[in-house]
Amino acid sequence: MSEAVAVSPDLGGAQWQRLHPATLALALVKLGPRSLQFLPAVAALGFTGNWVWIVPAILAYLLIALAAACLQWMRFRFIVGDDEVVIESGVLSRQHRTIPFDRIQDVSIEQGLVSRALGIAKVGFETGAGGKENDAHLDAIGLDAAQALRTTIRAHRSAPVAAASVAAEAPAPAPVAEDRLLFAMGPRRLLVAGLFNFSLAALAVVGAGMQFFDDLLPFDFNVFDPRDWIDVAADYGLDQWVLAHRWIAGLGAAISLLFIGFASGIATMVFANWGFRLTREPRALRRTRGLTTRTDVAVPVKRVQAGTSCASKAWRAMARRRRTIRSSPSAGSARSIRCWARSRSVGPMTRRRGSTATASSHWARSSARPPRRSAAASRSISAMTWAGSASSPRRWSR
Amino acid sequence: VSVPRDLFKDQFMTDTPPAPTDPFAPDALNAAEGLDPVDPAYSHVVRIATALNLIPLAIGASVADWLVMPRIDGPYGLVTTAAWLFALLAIVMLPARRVSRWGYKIGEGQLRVARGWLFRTDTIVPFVRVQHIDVGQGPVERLFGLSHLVVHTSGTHNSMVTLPGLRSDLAAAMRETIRRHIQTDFA
Repeated sequence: MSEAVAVSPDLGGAQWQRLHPATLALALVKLGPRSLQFLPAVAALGFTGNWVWIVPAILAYLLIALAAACLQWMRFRFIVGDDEVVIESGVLSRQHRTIPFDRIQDVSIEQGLVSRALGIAKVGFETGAGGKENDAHLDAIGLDAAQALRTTIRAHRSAPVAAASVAAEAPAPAPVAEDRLLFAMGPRRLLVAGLFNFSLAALAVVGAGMQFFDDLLPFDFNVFDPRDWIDVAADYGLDQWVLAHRWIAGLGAAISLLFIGFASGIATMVFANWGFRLTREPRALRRTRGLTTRTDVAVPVKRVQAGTSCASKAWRAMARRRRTIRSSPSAGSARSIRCWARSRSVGPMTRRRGSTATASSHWARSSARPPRRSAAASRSISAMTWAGSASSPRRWSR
Repeated sequence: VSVPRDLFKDQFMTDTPPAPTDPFAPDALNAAEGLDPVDPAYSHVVRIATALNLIPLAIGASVADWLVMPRIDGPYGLVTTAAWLFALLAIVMLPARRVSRWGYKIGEGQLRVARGWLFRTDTIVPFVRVQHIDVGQGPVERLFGLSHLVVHTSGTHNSMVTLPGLRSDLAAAMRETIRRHIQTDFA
């Protein structure tokens, strides 16, 4: 039936491909959070006393979900032509999506923990069309296939532009072929950045959880109640001593709070930014990061809409700042590259961009170490100059 | 001796579109604006979709009528009759009229889509602004060999323009036309 829809004359003899079979495994993993929807049904079975049916119901749910994932996998196929990606999906409602390479602004590669174990990756095509359901992605293909796909698309994007520049000026500058490392964060730098990422959010989550499940917990202990701590001390015969030296108890509480805040800050920083690398490719900036979920995002230099560099007072004392490079074709799918860098290394990063950028995108270098009073002003100026260099016709929707 | 006007019809068409004689004729609006109508079979798709939406609603109204009206001594049967009459009207009469208000034109470098009668919307999408193209086909559309074309432009607001009721081969051909224009533009 869909043959009439699928007719596409100039695909260059490429073959239809399917997603990696491990997509089914991923679908099972994704079922974990989704099964929360099923929880009320199970609870209803329990309340009405039909305990016998709970296990069959869960099994049926799993089976149906697996069958649905299997059907979706069977009905999903894609083809990478000479200058376009075509994706066909949908079990009952068929959809045939054509994405020209010209319109793909960046190709992101993302690997969760399970994906890394299976050697597959999720490939996302950022086209600048708004909305979550509008950007196309391939849920799981082999990692080397994903990288090959990105190389193909990048090569296509750079080919016509390079030819045009050669035609325009006779002494064409030699194209820089190799990727250069602009910035990397080692463990030590992550540690320092994590210290500035102080957060008590984890504690709040734990506290809220304990409030919520107070009756269900097998032990009766509230972290935020000093009396419970005194009871603990009493077990070791220290309660009188603690009551006599309350300031020590208070100090201990403060220190432990600080410790939790710093530890959670460092933990989130390490999980999100482990192995952070920012590389300059011939036409794009590429960021790789993540401990469990590794993401690999490339932003074409010409699509950069703004770059901001901001530093708080404490950061300035450490001569350190956070940079954000943002290409946001749409508010819903803003892509931004952030890194925490020393001020001294910010300068070289901008200089390198300035030397390789084309005439349409001339980078202004932000002052390496602004005076304290004018920090805000210099920040806005550098943001303006970066925004002014964006050559993309897209709306600046922030 | 009468000159067969049909011989010159094409030339007349290129100069000015013929003035509609009857302004209430279903296709008068499209003809006046130089738009092509969508496939008439699309009215069946609209009809089935409307029926799937309205019949459950009408059943619900009937049940509510049956449950509520005897208790409050209201006029039993009024709501039921009204609901089924409205559903009948919307399913039998309106689809053809609604479909006749859809019009499209593939021009030089742009796609024009117009729809609606009371609230008429006329959308023009330049091909160079198209990001990617979908051709979709639902199960009901498949019965009638129809597809719908969706062009995505950049931005978040009104970034999707949908044109339903195209024969599947025509939709694919339109996709290829738009596709070629994207190719020639170096964004």
